[in-house]
Amino acid sequence: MISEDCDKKLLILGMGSEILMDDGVGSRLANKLKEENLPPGFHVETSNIGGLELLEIIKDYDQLIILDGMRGGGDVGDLYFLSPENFRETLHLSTKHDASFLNALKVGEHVGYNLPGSINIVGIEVEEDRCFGECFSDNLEERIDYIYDEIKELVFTKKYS
Amino acid sequence: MKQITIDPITRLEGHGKIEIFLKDSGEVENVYFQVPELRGFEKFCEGRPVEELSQIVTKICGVCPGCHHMASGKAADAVYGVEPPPTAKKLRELFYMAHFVHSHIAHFYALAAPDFVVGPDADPAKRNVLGVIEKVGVEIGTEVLKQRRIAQEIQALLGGHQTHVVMNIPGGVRKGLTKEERDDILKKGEGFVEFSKFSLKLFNDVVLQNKDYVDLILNGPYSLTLHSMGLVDENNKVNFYEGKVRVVDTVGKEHCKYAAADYRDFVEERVETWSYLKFPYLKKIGWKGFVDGQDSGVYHATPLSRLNAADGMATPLAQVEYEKMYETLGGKPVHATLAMHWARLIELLYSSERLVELASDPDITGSELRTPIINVPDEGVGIVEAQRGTLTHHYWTDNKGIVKKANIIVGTTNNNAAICMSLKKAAQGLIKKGVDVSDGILNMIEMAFRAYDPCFSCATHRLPGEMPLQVNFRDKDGKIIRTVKRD
Repeated sequence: MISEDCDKKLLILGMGSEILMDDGVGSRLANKLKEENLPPGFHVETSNIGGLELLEIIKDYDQLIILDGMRGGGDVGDLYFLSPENFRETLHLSTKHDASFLNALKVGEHVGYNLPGSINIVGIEVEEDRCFGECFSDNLEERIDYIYDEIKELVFTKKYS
Repeated sequence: MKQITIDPITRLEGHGKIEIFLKDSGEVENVYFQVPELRGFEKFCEGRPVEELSQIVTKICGVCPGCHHMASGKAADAVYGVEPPPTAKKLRELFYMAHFVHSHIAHFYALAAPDFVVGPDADPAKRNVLGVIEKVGVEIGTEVLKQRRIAQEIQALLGGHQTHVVMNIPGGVRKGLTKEERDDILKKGEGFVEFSKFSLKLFNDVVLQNKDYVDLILNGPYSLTLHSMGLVDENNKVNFYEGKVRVVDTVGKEHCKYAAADYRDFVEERVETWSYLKFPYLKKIGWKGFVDGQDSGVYHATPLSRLNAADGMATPLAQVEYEKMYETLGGKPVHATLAMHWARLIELLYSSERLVELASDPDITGSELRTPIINVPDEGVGIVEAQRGTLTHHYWTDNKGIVKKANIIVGTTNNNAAICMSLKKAAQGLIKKGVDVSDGILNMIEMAFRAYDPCFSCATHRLPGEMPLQVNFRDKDGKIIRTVKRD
């Protein structure tokens, strides 16, 4: 699902609030990626809000990988590999304040924004996203290194299962 | 008794559930609005230096981080007993006007306009911002995104980041504005004014020229007769950043006016067993239940309330629109809930004009950015108008400025009781025996609270999720007898 040609610009966008425990898993993973020796053309950003706001962040990139918490019904730490074609909502991609993620993409297309040709979403099953705290829940913390390694492999080796 | 559930609420920031209970006759018995809880905010703040809070609170909600940053910054000023210099206050307000422009554009075009431009009964797949753009044209859609982007850019320039704002420090701000930056903002502000005028014209052409819509605003099941709250300046004109909180009664007479530090003398909060949100009410009147009227302690704090509570707008073009609105709707105060959309556009124009005023002020490029702190920290309250209502941050610290306790009343919390009552009134007006509870009907019920532009993320200090919508009709035994789904 990731373009083989990664010489084009790639944006890794981590979503969520870092003061709401598991809610911030996407942002935290993204911030950790920033510390890696990223190849030219790779960029990492974070955001708390989806919908139309995302258009301004993602436009003009060739490829996009979004990292976000999710409630998919699996075990804490499970990963869901999604795309607009097999889309499921994560915690922050859509905002009820303006638009759903898919509608935001359509709006972007309508107004002529140069949106990424390849959009991949990694949803991470979370447990506790309603309690203020700067740490993960125990169950997510146990698997976070594994999750990070999977995402690193996704980003750097372009392998996707 | 039958139960109709609307869960979650579409086109609304935050996660909530509406339960509508029907009598066996098919009439609405009662309506409950329930919001899940966020936990531990006060505990989270304890032990932190108070000056950190203005950055921390920007992470409560991705929609209105600037509001929390401003209120928190003012509370920290108060904790240290320090008044920022004029340049710093004007820079804060300049940022804040851009924040209002950004937010009010989003609400009108993405949340309000779908109901009026596309239609309240339209296909849900079209009744959204995409449907609005298809109706009004790509050019306008492009302009909506452009103006929002420009407002975000101004916020990023002044605030240090467009969402995780870092500009405020106790006693002032971190950085000033160069003349070149000021000139750029001034030009952009003039663009905001033109776009605001266009948006008001669109509202006039689409809504005010449509008799059915005007009838819906004036005579639909959406009016509540309540006291109105808003921040006003020394001339009792609307101000979002500074002033005193003024409350007028249901006939427009001043009920009270107070400085931030005195809010607890005028507003009290109560808890209901069926909701995690608090229900503030006017202390001097007291809690009389979920009722409206002159003798009710329930009030609202919304764009319409702000205009009701003030004697006018402080900028000329907005003042003209203010007068037009009240003339059209039969005088002050206005209690028609859907008129909030009109008031919001007037505020958009005011924010734009005020931004131009501030950018034109020679002080704005001044170099005095902070008043030195010499007092021992203690306790402080900061109040601003958030887009959704009066926002209060209250902190208690030790003598080193370490937080011992924190309390927040966010804009939407002020309106919690009013939202419940608006929902009930709309449901009672629209759901009748023999009337099929269609998606259009449910949407018209939701219109009752969308007008408030509620942000339940802030109100429960949490962030949103998205779920498919399902309405369950239950018989008196609680058994589901019918399900309506909306994808």
